[in-house]
Amino acid sequence: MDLFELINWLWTHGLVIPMTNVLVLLARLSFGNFGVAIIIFTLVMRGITWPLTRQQLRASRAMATVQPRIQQIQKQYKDPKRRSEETMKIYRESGFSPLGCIWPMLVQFPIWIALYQSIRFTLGATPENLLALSQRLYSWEYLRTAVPLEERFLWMDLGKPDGTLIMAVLVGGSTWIQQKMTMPNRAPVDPQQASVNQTMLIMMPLMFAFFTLQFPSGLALYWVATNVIGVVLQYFYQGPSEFSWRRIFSMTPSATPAIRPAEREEAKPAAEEASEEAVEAPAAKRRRRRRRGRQRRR
Amino acid sequence: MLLSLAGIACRSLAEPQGWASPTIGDDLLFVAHKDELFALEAETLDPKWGFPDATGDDDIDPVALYGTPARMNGTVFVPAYDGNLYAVDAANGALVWQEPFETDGPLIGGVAVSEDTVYFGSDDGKVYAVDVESGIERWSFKTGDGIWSTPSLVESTLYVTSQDGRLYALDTLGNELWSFKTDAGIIASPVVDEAAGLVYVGGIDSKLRAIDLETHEERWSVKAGNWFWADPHVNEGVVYAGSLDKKVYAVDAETGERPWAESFSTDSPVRSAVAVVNDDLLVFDRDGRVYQLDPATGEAKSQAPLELGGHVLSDPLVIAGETPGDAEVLVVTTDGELVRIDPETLNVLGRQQLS
Repeated sequence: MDLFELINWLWTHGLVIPMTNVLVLLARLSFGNFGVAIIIFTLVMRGITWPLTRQQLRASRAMATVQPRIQQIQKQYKDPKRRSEETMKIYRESGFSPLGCIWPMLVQFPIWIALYQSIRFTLGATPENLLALSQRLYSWEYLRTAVPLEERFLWMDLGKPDGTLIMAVLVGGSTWIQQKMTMPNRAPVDPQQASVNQTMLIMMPLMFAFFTLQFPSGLALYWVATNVIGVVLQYFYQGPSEFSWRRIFSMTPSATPAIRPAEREEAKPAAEEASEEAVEAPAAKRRRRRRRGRQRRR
Repeated sequence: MLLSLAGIACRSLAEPQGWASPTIGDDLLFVAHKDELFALEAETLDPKWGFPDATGDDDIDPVALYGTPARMNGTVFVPAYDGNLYAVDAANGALVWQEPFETDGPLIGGVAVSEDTVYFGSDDGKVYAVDVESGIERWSFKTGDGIWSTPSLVESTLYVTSQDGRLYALDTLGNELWSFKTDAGIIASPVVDEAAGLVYVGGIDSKLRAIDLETHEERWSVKAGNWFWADPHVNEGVVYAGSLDKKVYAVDAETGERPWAESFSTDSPVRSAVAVVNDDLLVFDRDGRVYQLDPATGEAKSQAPLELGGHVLSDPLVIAGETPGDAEVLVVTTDGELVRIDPETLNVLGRQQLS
């Protein structure tokens, strides 16, 4: 068995087949309703990945907290190397890791792919898929006798893309809201970074809406469910005081920071420190220059 | 990440491929590959026409052909995955009906034809009876789930299995005479054994059952390790059926006893029906291996199975010769190769690519 075969085997037997069996089991427990099974599955997956989600939320909050200090540094230091060093220093001090925002997303990526494959197999929309499913189900009669599953859920055929555009709108909209809630309130000073953020804010929902038109609507249902759960978690984690519909539906990040009072207090000394540093720096230089002049005269 | 997702998005969903079994009608052999049906001269295997090309209608897209077509007089009935039943002139492949008969679900099973009516089931859950001449619906009967099997018409009773887990017996006016409930969906076709007074049904509950035609109760059942999708085959009082658990079972039709010491194991699941030719039982597994067994003992006659080199999901067709030794077995692989096999020697007599 070469490496590719090993990875393929692990992928199939370690992720896709267990996921397929869990979906069939949930469908059986929900009286054959596969749509309900996908929603329960999403809740279970969000429960399992909660530590990662919490880490992501913490990272987002830490990012918001250090944002004023970073903006100060970007104004203060023109040398990119120094700017980078100072930024990293702030990250270290605050315990914030930029990767903390990204890798929970990366962990979810294989889950999406595996879920896509599982839905295809589980629904057995074509005879070939049903035949393949027969070889993927564990030899537990409760599971084996559960198929074929009901493909219809609300207006959708879960094995086929939703032709009504409703799911595309829901996926795009919920992705937008979740992104807006996780984005720092204050726009980055770096115009390049601001442009990237703005592009991502628009492109991500559009891309996911496009995928919804291509993928089985069962996967779209998972996306909507996972986004809604994400938004609810974010809402309660941040607290209702930070939530603003106006900010969610504005195209650009707000100019004024919307940091919690406690965080504002945290951010204030840091910002003051930075501004004091900025005031002190030219004075120290002047003192050094005077000292060097006196030494030369002597 | 987005690029990878885009890559997956661009890959189409698993397309249905089709596995219609070959069938013979008068001097023509009908074989299908994917979404095309070919009429070949039975003697020479020379192509005569192809469907849908011969119709001259570019709008016809059968998507895939799973159900075995059937010929009645000069018309061939073709059930297609696009949900339509087509009636085609056996002489030239032209459409007989102005419009195909349309249903609300893919047609995956085959058809049963009487002198004036064609019967078939659809994934929309209905059994349809359609006038042979006009293509107009005579009646329909709604079951609880999709129908993927071929109905069996015996005298004036139509036997149909459904994914709702029931075997239905209907009269030719579409009235339910009786039904039998199993523990899960049924995708294999029912096989009626008039001599034994039984109907055999294999199901997703992994059971092969014999149901009494008089009492409508189960006479016996055999439990496998996976679903029965292959249609059972009856020969000299013994029922043979392959299962997706990679085994072939033999059961005495009368008693339900197992004549073999143990079931025969194959290397991959068995979706195709077995074929009994003279004193040989031929078993086709999914990966294209052909096993030659002794029907009495279930022991392999040849040391190694014949490898066809392509997957086999359709049923084989036995062509009887003038003498028993002239018989041939035809099978179509999923690669679209029509393979002729000598059932006695298990040699390949010829291969023909369908295109």
